[in-house]
Amino acid sequence: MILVIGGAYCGKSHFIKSKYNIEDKDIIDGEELCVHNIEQYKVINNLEKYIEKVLSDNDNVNEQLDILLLNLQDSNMIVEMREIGSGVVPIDRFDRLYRECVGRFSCAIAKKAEAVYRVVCGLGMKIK
Amino acid sequence: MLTVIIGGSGSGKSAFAENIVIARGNYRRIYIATMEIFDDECRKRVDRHRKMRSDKMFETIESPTHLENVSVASDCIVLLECMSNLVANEIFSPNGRNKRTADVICDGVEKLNRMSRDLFIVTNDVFSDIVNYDAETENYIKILGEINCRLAAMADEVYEVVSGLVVKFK
Repeated sequence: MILVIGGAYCGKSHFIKSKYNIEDKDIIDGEELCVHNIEQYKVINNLEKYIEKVLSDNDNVNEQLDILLLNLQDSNMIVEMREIGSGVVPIDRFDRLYRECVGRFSCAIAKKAEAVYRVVCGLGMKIK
Repeated sequence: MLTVIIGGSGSGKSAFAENIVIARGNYRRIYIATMEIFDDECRKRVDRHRKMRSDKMFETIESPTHLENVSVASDCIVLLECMSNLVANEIFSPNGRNKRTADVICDGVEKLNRMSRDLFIVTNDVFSDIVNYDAETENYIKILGEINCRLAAMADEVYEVVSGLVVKFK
């Protein structure tokens, strides 16, 4: 598994597509992801959106994310996630929870990933 | 030669940019300031910055919009600060080009890079917040992100400054 992380509009998708020769059909967006259809794809874009969906559905978040991690950890999946943790603490309670959850899950993924890239201005730096 | 320098607020990116320009040697130094001056407070701040930079032998050119109209001599080293202001002015100011912002700015940078000896651009990292801004602000962030990527692709060197420390991306 490979993790690609970076801020909004920083060229993460472009970096992944050109580095790993990925076509659009190989990519699933976090919003449409469900654990059962993962194997059909090579890349998950915006994984934070999956977390947002699970959180707003009020499912058992930890359990859901554990299942996702189990499915990802020994795969060849490229996971793209947005860094959203470097701003002021959000006023909205849901946003605070969501932000924290995304940060924690990115740590869990990074720990299991064989490589982690951070993208700035469309350029990737290997940080693991 | 084009160099892009990115960093968050207070990261030390401006100091790094000034030092790297000075380290290039005794060439004519041009500073392109992009802040729009609205009132006396802005004017005072700008005057203070101009004075500080004149001690470092920078000449200041103000260009809050229309970067492509700036003209410099071929032996100059140019420092443009800050891209995030220039983008905001092009999008929001009455003189700005709004929807054409990304193209006019990238063209302006290309022209300035060809014209000068070396060009250094300072830009701002505003992309790692939780994104729940209004549509206008979101659009601004998106365009700044696009411009940063295009400039970085064009650049010979790209640096990120974090806590005053410099990370070379390219």
